[in-house]
Amino acid sequence: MTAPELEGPVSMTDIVESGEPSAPAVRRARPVRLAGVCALVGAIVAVAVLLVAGWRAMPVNRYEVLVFLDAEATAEQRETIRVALNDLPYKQNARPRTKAESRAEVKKLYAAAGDSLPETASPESVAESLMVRTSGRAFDCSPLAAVTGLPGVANLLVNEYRKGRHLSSIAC
Amino acid sequence: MIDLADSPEPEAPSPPRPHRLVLVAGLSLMAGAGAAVAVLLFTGWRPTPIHQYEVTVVLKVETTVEQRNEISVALENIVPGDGVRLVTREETFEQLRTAWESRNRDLPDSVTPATMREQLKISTSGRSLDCGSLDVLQDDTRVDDLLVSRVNGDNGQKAWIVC
Repeated sequence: MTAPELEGPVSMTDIVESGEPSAPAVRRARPVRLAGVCALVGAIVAVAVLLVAGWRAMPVNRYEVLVFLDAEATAEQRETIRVALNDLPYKQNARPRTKAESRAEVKKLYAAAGDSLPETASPESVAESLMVRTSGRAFDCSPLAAVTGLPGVANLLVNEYRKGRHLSSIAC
Repeated sequence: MIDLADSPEPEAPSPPRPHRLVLVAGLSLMAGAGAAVAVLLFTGWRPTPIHQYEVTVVLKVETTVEQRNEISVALENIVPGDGVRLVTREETFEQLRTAWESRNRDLPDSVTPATMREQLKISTSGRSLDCGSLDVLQDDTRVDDLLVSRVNGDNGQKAWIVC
């Protein structure tokens, strides 16, 4: 018969079913079982290859780009900075944050570090800032180079959040 | 005649031919691999570069050698790197002096190596750095400052990570 020809590709199933009579039903099940085993092997190999190639779970994070302005920044400089921020490849537009908002933020940062806000940090002494939000699996600093060098920019900080939790900040 | 042509019965019981089994195996392998890749992509798997990190622990001026060694051991346990490197007060002083010199200014006399802070540095590489693991050091009263720099493994960009 043709049975011996089968032994090569389906030797495993042959071993498993060696005790059973070679009923037509069993024979029909063999390709199905083979397909299942091969699909599983394919999946495992694919995962292994990707792992070795450096693939990892990279959740989408939310990023908050903060641009702190010089206290002496002119209205013109502010406008230039705002336009430059809006030109960045982010969906949202930059939004100015008032001194009160910035102060609240600084206060929060101090509280997180276990300190209270120094007396000298009056609402006036806290720098004004612009903020733009974006999201992604990693933050690319390179587009920010267009903003960093502009006159009137004091500092730039990127806050990284995952599921609302502050992970870290990046100073590009 | 019609019966023979239409019904698959006479065909089915005969065992599948080997080349058909190979085809089934090959297609299943590819389908399994494709499905696995699709699932991973969907669940957010992406190629992740390996970054270079350097963690710097700035010690308070009054830290003793014993305390420094303790923190050094703690740092080595937290960050899997190639050993902790000590930046002495003299080295820090020298760095500061050259930095001032490059701006054509002399350091005030009150600034001496003794007023400098020692630093412990450790380098490591990885796809990410868990800021939370450094909390212990950040909360340590003998630690003045904690700095983390990252060189992006993708594009070589240097950035500071504020933990």
